Amino acid sequence: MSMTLRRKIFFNRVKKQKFHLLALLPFLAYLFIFRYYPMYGVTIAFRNFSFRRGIMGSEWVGLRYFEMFFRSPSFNRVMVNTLAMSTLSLIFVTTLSITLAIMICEMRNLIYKRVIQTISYLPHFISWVVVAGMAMTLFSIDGGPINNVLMALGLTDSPVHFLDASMIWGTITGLNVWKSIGWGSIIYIASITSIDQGLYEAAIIDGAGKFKQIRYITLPSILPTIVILLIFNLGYILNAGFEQQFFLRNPRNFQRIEVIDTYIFRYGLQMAMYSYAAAVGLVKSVVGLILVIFANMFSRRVLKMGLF
Amino acid sequence: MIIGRGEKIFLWVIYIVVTIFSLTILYPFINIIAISLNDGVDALRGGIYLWPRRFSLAAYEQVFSRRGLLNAAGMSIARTMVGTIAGLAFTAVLAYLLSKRDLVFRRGIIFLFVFTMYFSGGMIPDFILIRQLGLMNSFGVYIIPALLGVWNVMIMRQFFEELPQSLKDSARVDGANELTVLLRIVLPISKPVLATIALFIAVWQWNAWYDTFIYTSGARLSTLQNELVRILTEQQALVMAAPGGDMRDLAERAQRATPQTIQMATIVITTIPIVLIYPFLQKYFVKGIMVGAVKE
Repeated sequence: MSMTLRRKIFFNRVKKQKFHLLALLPFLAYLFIFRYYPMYGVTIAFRNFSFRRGIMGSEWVGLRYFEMFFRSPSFNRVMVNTLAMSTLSLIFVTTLSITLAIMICEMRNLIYKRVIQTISYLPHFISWVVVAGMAMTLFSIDGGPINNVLMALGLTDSPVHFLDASMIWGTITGLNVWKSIGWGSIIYIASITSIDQGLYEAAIIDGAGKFKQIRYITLPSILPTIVILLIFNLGYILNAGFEQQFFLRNPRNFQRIEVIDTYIFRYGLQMAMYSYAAAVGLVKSVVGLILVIFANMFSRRVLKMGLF
Repeated sequence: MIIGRGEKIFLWVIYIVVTIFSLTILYPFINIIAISLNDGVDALRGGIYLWPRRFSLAAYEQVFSRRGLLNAAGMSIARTMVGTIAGLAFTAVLAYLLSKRDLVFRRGIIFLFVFTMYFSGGMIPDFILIRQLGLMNSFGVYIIPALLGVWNVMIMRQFFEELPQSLKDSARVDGANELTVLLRIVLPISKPVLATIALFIAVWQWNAWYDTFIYTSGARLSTLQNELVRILTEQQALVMAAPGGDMRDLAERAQRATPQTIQMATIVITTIPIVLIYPFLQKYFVKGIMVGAVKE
C-alpha cells in the first residue's frame, strides 16, 4: 500500500471519529493536568523550589537533594522500615488470601459461605482512621481486651506493648492482614472456581486426598493469578502504607514506624522542604517503576506470562 | 457425594478456622460498640468486652450536640454524594469512549492512562498543583482531583467492550448519535458495573481524610474522618501527657462521656453507613473485580 493511500485511510478514520475524538479531548486535558503535570512538577527535586519563584524560576541544584537523602542518617532506617513492613505484608496477605480462598471454596453450606464472605469484605471498606482507633483500644496496655485475655490465660505476666517499637512491624502487618485478606481472596476464589472440575474427579479416582488435590491441582491452576498479582504488587513494594503508620505513630515506636511516605509527608508538607521531599518521592516512584518492569521481564522469560 | 473420614475432618477444620477468622473480623466492632455505649469514666477502667458494663448514651449525646461534628457529618455526606455522581459520570463517559475498538491511537491513549498507575509525580508535586490551581480550601478539592480513577475506568471499559456490538450498531443504524447510544442503550444494561464503581467511589469519598488534612484548614470543610483523626490524636496526646488524671477531669466536664467513648461513638457513626450498604452490592462488586482481574 502506498504512503498516500495509507494516509488517506487514516484521515478518513479520524474524520469518521471526529466527535468521538473531540469528546476525548477534555479527558486527555484532565489527564495531563492532574497526572502528567505533577510528573513535570517532580523536577523540583533538582531545583531549590519555592512557590514565589515557581517551578521554572527556581534555581537548578542538580543532585544535591538526592545526595542529601542517600547520606542522611535516616536513609537506612526509613528504607529498612519500609521494606520490612511492605514485604511482611505482601507475604502474609498473599499467602493468607490464598488460604482463605481455598477454604471458602471448600465450604459446602452455601448460606454460611456467603455470610463468611460478606464478613470478610467488611474491613476493606473501613477507613484506616477507624482501624487505628480500634487498634489503640483493643491493644491498650491498661485494660484493653486483648491484653486482659492474654493475662487471664496466663500467657503473659505483664501487658504486651503491641504498639511499641519492638512489636510495631508485626502489629502493622497484622492490621494489613486483617484489613485486606478478605478482599484479596475474591480474585483467588474467582480463579479457583474457573478450574475444570474434571481434574478433581480424575484425581479422586487416582486416590488423591484433599491436600494432594490442593498441591497438584488448585495451586498450579491459580499460579498465573498469583504471579500477575505479585508483579503488580512488587511495583508498590516501597508503598508500605501511609495512614496506618501516620495514625499509630508515637514517641515510643517512632524509630521503627517511619516509612518513606510518612517521611516525605513530614519533610515536604510539615517542614515545607518541598524539593528534598520531592527528591525522596522521585526515588520511590522510579524504583517502583523499575521493579515492575524487571519483574514483568523476568516472568515473561521464565514463566511465559506477564502483566503487560 | 461420599465423604471419607479424612475429608470430614478436613471440612471440620475449615469450618472452625473460617468461623474464628470471621469472629476476629467482627469482634473489634462489637468491642467498639460496647465501649461507645458505656459510661465514659467507668470505661477508663478497661475490661469491657462484649457489652457495656454501665450503659450510657452520653457519648452519642455529646457527638450529636457538638456543632463541629454535625457540620462534619454534613460535609462527609455532601462530598460523598457529589463526588460519586461526578466521578461516576466521568468514569462512564471516558470508559465508553475508550471502549470503541477501532479508535485511532487507541493503544497509545490507553497506555497514557494506564502508565499513571505505575508512575506518578508523588505527594509534593500534587500539593504544588493543587495550590497553583487555587483549589486550597474549596469544596472542589474533594471532587475535581478525584474524578479520575484509572483502575475504575479500565474495569468499566472492559465491561462495555464485552457488550454485544450488534446492540450498539443497531441503534446507530437508526440514526442515534454516540451520546444517545451511551445513555439509552449502554448504561441501562450496565447496572452491575455502575453499581460497583459507584460503591468504590462512594467508599473512597466517605473514607477520605488526607485531602481534608492537607488542602483545607478550619472547620468549614472538615469531615467526619477528619474529626475522628482530631479526636484520636488529641486523645493520644492526653494519654501521653498524663495517664488517667486529665482524662478524668475532662470526663467530669463532659458529663460522663470521655474522649475515648466519644471517639468510639464517632467510629460507630462513621462505620454504620458503610455496613448498611456494601452487603447489598456484594454480587456486583465481586463480579466487577473479576472482570478487572481477568485481563490487564
